[in-house]
Amino acid sequence: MTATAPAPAPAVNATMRHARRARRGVTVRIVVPLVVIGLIVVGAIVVPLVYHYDPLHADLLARLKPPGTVTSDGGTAILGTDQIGSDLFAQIMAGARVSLLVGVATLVISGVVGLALGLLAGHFGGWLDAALMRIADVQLAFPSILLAILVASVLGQGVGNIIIVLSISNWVVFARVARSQVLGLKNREYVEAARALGAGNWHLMFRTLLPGCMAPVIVVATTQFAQVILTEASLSFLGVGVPLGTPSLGSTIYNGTQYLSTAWWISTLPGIVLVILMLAFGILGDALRDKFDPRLRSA
Amino acid sequence: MVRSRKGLAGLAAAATALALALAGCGGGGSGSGDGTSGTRLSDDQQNLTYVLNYGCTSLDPTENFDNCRMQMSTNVFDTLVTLDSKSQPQPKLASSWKWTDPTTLQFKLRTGVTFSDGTPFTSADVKATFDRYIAMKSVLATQLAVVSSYTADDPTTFTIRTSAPTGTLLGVLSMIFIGPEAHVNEDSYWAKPIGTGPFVISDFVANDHITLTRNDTYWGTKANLKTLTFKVVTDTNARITALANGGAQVVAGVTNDQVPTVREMSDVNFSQLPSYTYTFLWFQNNRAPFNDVRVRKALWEALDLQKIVKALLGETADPMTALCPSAAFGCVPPTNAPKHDPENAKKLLAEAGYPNGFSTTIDYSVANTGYDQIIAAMISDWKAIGVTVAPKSDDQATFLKNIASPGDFDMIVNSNLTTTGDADFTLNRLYPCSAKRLGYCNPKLDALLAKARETTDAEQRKPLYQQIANILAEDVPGIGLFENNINVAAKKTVQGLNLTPTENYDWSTVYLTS
Repeated sequence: MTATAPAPAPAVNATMRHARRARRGVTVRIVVPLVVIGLIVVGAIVVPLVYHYDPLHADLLARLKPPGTVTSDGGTAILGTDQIGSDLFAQIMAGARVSLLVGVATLVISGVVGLALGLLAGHFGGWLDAALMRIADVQLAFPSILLAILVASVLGQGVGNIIIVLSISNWVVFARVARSQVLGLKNREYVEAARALGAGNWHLMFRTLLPGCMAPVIVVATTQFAQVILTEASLSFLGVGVPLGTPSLGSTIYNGTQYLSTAWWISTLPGIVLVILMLAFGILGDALRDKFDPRLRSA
Repeated sequence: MVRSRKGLAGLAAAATALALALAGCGGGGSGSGDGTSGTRLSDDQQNLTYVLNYGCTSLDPTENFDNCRMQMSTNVFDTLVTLDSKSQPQPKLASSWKWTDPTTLQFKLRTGVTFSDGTPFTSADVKATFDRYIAMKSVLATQLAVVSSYTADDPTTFTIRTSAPTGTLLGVLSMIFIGPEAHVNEDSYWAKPIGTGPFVISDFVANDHITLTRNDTYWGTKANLKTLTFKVVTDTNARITALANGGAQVVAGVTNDQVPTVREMSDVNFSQLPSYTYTFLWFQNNRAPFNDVRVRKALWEALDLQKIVKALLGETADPMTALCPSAAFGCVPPTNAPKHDPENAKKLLAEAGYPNGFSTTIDYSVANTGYDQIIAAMISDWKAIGVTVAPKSDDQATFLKNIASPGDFDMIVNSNLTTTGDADFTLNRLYPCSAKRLGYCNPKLDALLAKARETTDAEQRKPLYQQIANILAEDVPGIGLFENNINVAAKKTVQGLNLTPTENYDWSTVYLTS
């Protein structure tokens, strides 16, 4: 950080400059991913509508056409067509829609549940803490994708079931982060003050401790979001995810694997979109962590 | 007796010969010497892996008839008689047989045969096996319903009495795999059964593989292969990869989109011939709205099967209108099959009281690769007449439960095999009132089916089956979608493989060259 700092005064300036640059970097790293994610979200909402996309509509004369092909009805399949002749661009965007829906819904459910249990465990401690955290440990010891496959095969296919499955395997992370944050906060002066003023458990948990937990939880949420979308894609790829007729990025990639040698675009293009989405969330999470980092905040 | 199935079986035989000529397979038959390419590998290297076309959940052929069980049974068990390439019965465990009167069939059994555990084979084993097949009330129940009694007269004589003259009995017997009397009626025995055949099961992992080793005490010509592995690979890419990297020597069920890839492989022969396998759709005929024939007919007329099959399956399958494959005797296309006509389909729906269509579901098994595209294409066609169909992809166990009698589905798609190469096997097993498979019952059809079965003269049976086909097209209990070709890719080092329309191959004649 201070590799070039010969004299005390310039050293302070250099540190300040560095911190400012870092902050600017952080802003860029927050804005760019947000723009990318925003574009994908808008695309996921608008494109399938514009294309009148129907996942079960087959146009058998137009199957396996490469990107840029002009279809019989005069339109251009800019990203080509898949194995039943539906437009790949529309399908990818419809898939992104399912992926984003699953991601958001899972985060809301697992976040709320995880946060609540983490607060309870951290605030009350004792046997409740021990019990909740042992359950969390047990679940963490079990590979989450395996757990997801197990639950998915019991519940069956469907977007709703996927959200349940992923929520079950994701609440632990939120619970642990919230709990550790609460343990760090509960002996701070402002919390002591609230307690001394006679605040009840409810007030302590949700009015004093919860706001202090939010920053790390939001950071975790962004990284978890990427994780959730990827797990959904993996489940669909493994055939225990979304059913036929509900395109997801994972299922589109899976369907295309049969045609890798003859129609590379079916798997490759949704794969690239998935990678971009992952990267955007990954960078965003990283940047948010830096932003909330008190060492950089002072500059 | 079964002097039938001439024309089409002959065609199939010719196709087999052609496929073999193309494949350079040395003409089949054991002990025919080395093939054209390379020298024969040493015994230790005679290990072959065959990638099956379908899944493998169990080994019990008395319970169900899937390709896996039949493939295994054909090589591990023997039957009393076997059907040759012209579907004529030939001696196997029975050395001879005669009809002592029109309803009594007496077998003379082969002597000196032992099971692979050393137990001698006698008529008591045949009797116990019959007990098993009848007690299971399963796959052969309707075929065996004509059997009124069977007796083991002495260790080498076995007699069957039927309630009526039955022209197809020997064909049915070619599917009854004889197990040992002591165990054949125990369910636990079927986890790893033994038989009198050329191979012995050494390992079985459900839906993964069956490993067979040569039965060195086999009574007939001993197998050439030391080990033979039937492998289940569901991923279509992985199947072809296995062929390319030596993980497998023979792969069944090459899909249409892979045919060019396989043809480009210089060390692989690709063979095609019409098979007894076909794919069909059933309606649940006693469940609304399918209890109205107009609805069923409308759904048929909505489908552009010619286009779907050509686009998605290309040369690997042909569209059909009958409910059993044309390679089999008596499976004639109906003369009154509905044509693709979405406008008339809409009209029929309106007449039936569904002017705005309706919503329903279609079941299929995830184990059948490539179905999802066909289902999506059909759903697309139905949508055009206002019928919304939701696809239901079941795992194999759920699927088998749904399709089994009495049938828990709205519509269901499945592949099936006319094992004996005779329409009686498929039509009389699935569509009489007593079958209770899809809620369909037409006494007129039952009478015709019974008559066609009792008739022994092929020329008289043909017009009966034409009437039957026409009734089925009129009633539309289901729709014949397409008849599959056998699409087998084999390394050029594989010699002596006889492809048959049943897809159950006798692997004992196969050997490997370098």
